[in-house]
Amino acid sequence: MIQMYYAYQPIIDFFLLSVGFGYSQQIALRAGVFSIGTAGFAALGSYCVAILATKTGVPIFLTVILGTVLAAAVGGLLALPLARLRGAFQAIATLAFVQIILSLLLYGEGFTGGALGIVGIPREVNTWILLIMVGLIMYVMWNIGRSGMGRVFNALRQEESVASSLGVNIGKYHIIAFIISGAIAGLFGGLQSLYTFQIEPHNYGFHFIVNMLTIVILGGRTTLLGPIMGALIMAILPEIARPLAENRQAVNGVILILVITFLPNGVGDEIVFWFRRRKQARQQQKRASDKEGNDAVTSS
Amino acid sequence: MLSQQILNGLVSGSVYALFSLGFTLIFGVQKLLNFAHGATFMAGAFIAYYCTISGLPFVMAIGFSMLATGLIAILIDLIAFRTLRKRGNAEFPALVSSIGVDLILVSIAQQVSNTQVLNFPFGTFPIQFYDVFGLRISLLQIVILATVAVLVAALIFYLKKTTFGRQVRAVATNERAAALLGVNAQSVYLQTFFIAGALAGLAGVLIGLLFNSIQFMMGEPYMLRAFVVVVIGGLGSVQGAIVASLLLGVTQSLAVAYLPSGLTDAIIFGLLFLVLLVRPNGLFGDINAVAGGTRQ
Amino acid sequence: MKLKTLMLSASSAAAVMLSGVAAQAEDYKVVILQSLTGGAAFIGKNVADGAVLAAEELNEQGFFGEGNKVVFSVEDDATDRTQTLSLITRLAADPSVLMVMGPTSGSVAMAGANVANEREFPVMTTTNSMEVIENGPWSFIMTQPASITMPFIADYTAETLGVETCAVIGVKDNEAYVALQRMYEGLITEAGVEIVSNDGVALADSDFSALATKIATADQDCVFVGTPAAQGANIILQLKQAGLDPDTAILGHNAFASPTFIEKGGAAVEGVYLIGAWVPGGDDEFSSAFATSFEEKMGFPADEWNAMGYSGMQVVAHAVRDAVEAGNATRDGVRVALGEQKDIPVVVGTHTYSYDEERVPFFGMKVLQVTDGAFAIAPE
Repeated sequence: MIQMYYAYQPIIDFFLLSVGFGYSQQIALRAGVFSIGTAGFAALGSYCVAILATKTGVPIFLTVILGTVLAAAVGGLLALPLARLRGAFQAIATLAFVQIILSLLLYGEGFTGGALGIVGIPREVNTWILLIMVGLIMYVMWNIGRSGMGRVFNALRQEESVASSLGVNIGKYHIIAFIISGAIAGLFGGLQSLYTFQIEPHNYGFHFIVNMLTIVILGGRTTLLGPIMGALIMAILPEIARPLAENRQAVNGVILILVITFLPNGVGDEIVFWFRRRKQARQQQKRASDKEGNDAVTSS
Repeated sequence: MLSQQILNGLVSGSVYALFSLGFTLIFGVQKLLNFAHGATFMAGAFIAYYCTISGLPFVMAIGFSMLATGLIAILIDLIAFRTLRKRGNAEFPALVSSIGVDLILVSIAQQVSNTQVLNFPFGTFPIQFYDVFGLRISLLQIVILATVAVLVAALIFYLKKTTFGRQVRAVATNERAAALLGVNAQSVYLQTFFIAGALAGLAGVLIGLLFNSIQFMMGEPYMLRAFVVVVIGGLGSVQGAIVASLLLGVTQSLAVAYLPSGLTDAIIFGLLFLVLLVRPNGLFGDINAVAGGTRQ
Repeated sequence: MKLKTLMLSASSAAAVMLSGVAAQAEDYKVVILQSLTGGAAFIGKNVADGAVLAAEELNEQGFFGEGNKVVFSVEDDATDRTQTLSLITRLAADPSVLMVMGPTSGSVAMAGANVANEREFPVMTTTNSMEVIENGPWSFIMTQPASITMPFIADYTAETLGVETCAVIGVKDNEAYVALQRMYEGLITEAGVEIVSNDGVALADSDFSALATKIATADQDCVFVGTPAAQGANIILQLKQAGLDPDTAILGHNAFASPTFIEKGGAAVEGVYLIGAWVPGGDDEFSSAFATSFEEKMGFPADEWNAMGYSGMQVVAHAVRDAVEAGNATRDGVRVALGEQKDIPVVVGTHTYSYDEERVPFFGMKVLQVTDGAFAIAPE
């Protein structure tokens, strides 16, 4: 077991980082916000930490907190104008946000290192810290899911007009979703900086965006299990397909198509839904009363 | 130089239009973002290239390539979208399955080309320049502008004036109602995918020819631009996509010419951001297309 | 299956670590880990092809002595840092692997260097970034840093050609190219050349019409194009089509030393100056033999990166053999031997490859010019 861990440790660590970014992406989608800003928030958090950790004497844990706060604040600011937009328009506006961040990172060579990025970042993060952080985020997400806010998010996602007619302040909840999404991505961006020694703008480009969307959609957009399953598949896929050498990418493509075609809600969500349906069926068998209410699709 | 740069921008923009039309058409009809559109575009350039070097006349190579990419697009619909569409709520799952198709096509192209950058052999198209009012314009640029104009006009005519066009619009507005009225939605889907694929294929050939470069990853930057164009133009709007394409082409050209290098992207995307704030549904977007399409 | 062997090797790694005995083997394992796919594939794939050919030939010749051979395998990190880190970590856990030739460049090389130094595992990255060497004693670079290569072309620009103004076009999103371009800018500015414009393109770009018009309508004595070969040929083609003054000198760096450059650029790249470690077709017995056998095996002519891969593997093989002969076929033995390599016959530059005390590689460069559709030594 220990030697397994030794040989596969980076995969485990990157899996944990992906889960973190996955929750950032998920909370947005879950609130009905088609944001792909996670890449931009992650870049902000990670550059904030990298610059502070290499150029100033700010204590490491403080740099991570600052990175998180910065990304959350930018998320909140970004949400103000974006609250007017919906769906794909939000997606493109957040894509523009990411592109602006990336090109500024490339441009501000003196400060950000340009294409070379920032090197020589101390490695302060290990598997245990990542595990604790993922656990913490899961706890937060779980609480959000059970709270009134989680129910509002679900309502916004499923039928915004109904939520609005019930007097929900949509803009306010979108801003909250952006802030949470920004904070989580900023936090994990900072952790990533402190794990990979070196960062560059390219790390948060198109590839990152596509990867995070894939993780959340493949894993599941509503349950806690979603990003975990998505990140797990995306982490393991390159490894099991490795013997296929140059056909690997094509095989990954085939697997993505098959999985999403047969489990369109995502692997994690489908698993949770299956258990819920089973539980419900049992309860209904036991007592065919009218007690069970309408919140069948609430979060886990 | 200003007018020369505007011309450069118009030529690039007209090819973006060709690429984006298919993308917006599929979105308009299906409400799905087809991530494999860039790979279809790339496939068009590849197929025409291999046809040309194996001795086929260039015009036939283009025709064959458009036919093939049309069929590829149909295949994409059958493999990646059809099952998901039947279940409903396909917006997000379709994103992943089309990413899957994209991976497959790109991987095949990479192996076929051995990661090399290809280009059409010299002399595939005569290189000739004309001086018009001090503008330097090549025969190829003229042919591209003309081809795109004709195709766009034909497409608009097709969508607005023919039975098929009415069917497309019926399905786009409300698939169930259209089906009740006897429109065969399946056939509409297949036709739109074929048209989208063929246009993307042609765009690939033209770009490959115009900029001497055919490469397995060539679709990616164009996908990014197509997103921009399609949204700025208003999702699903054909006219909007054309205007937005030309605007993007010219803006890019002028940005390269007059703005500090390195900031071009930041400025273009900054403008995009501003446009969205002023017109949340794009320049030509109508509220219905959005309400019907973009949320699950 | 593969996974199983990996687990086995992982568990044997633990066994070895527990008993504290290094693995003894007649077969020396070297892994060629490059970016065969993804963004850096145009470097990594070519380096791997050259290196594989070299390893095959060396084994055939019995380079390592009777019965011994280098068992090499090729791995792909897809230009993805995650995969680089996990591959190197896993290879480091397999005691039979002596060293890694790779990873390629950019963030994967830096990430590789970091994990290599952490796990005390020698890696020879393809990149030319000094940061990799500075990272620690276990990480090497295969290509000469910009401070060695760029003076060749900068001196040629400022002194031999005597230009006064220059337009610079570079790649903005790849750190290796940015480093070369910055070095060139610094050197020619120092020599009194004025840089009149400075533009960056992205590696995936192919539409240079606006850029070409801008430069063709401006006034300068020279244009420096610091991009990969195919892209550079394309930029020059579009510059010429936009009506660039035919007297303008066009210069590039060693990335242009590839048959691709002439093939893609055709008549447009005639007269372009560049530096090259590799003269296509070869320019002595060893390099010509390599050019022939490479084309026989692969079906296309070797380029600079193929030649670099082939040369790099020569250096790796000598280091491994030296370590074996010193009775120290361990990772540390290979690391020490690698840093001490001097005057190894290679197919690039001035045909010998040496590491200096700071482990900076040197093998020389030549200023070339495209003449009659082929690379020739540029007039002095």
